[in-house]
Amino acid sequence: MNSFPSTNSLSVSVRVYRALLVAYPKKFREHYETQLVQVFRDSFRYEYHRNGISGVIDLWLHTCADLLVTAFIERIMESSQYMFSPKVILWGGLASVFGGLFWMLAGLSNSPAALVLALVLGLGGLVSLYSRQAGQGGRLGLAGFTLGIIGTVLPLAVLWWAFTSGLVANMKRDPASVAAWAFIFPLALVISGIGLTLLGLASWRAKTLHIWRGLPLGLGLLSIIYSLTIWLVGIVPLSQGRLPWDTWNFGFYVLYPAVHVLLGLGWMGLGSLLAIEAAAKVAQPPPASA
Amino acid sequence: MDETASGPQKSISLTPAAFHIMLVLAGGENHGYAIMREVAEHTQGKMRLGPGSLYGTIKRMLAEGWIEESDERPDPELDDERRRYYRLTGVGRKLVQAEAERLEQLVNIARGKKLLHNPTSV
Repeated sequence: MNSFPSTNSLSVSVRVYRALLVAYPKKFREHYETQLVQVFRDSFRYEYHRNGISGVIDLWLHTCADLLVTAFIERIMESSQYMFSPKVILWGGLASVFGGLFWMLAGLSNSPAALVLALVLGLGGLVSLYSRQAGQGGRLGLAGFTLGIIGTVLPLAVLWWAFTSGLVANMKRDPASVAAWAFIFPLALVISGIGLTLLGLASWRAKTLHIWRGLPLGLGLLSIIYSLTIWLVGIVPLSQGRLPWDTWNFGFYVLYPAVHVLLGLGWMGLGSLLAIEAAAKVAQPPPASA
Repeated sequence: MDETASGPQKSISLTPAAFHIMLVLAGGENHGYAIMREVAEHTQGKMRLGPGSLYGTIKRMLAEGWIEESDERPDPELDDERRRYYRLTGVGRKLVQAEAERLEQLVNIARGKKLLHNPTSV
């Protein structure tokens, strides 16, 4: 047809294309490399015989754009599969169980360190629950998960800042000045509670955890109640210039630990359900490939 | 195969690539390159599936149970034996049928509103 060295250019092009396939995840490559190369080779022959060098250039441009986009998609999908794997659900569930223990400990001992650990381990519970939904929670689940993460990281940042800036040390001398910023803490916890409630609604809709499907929703609502409790028993007295634990009061000495214990039991229950279910899946042999 | 999990009774929106591939396979089993060429012909070259788009879509359709790999191979003298042939499953056929009917309804609506220049040619 023309002087274009088709045989050499075909073999060079195929080699280059094969090398570029490294952009795809290993599993996809192992499964489809031969087919991808074969389709590229056939397309090359077709374009060369039909349109000559301009057809080959056009094929390369189209193939490179296709490879960039689809390799990105395949990699994202592979990451999602990992996110939804039983191992992630299992470890996240276990973290949630320990997080529950620290929730109870934080309420009973009033230890900030226990509260920090409860929040950090609670992140595992959120990841586990979201992974368990396996995308069936839709946008509601994603919104809940995102808010849950933000609402958990924010209180951690507030706590870190409060301790490192010396504000906590100053609490006894000037409780009212602490109240001016401390409201951020329950506010951030409300965000977390709303996130968990949305995630719980998504779980309810997707029928995650079967008969226990209402548990994440209940935990979300309890988290909102918890943030209101913090406001009532912590921020209000501070803003009035007194420490919450100075005199005996029902809110601080009964309600606050009781909500902590309930939250702890909720996270432990949720984590146990997720972990037990995931452990059974992890123990199963992988299905034979098609 | 589990036909209830991804059955056509559920509202599933097919991607254009998946729909075109299924349309080709509705005419009988075929291999990747032939599917790609036929899709290009059906769409007058407007939809060009690259190798990655083609096999990425095929991978997802296999996972959904809409298509399956065919065990039958043509005579090795007539075709490359490394080629994989695909065909529609029962679920896939119902799904592509439902999607075609949905599109037909839309075309009828468009026709009723005199949006089509030549209604008889559709």
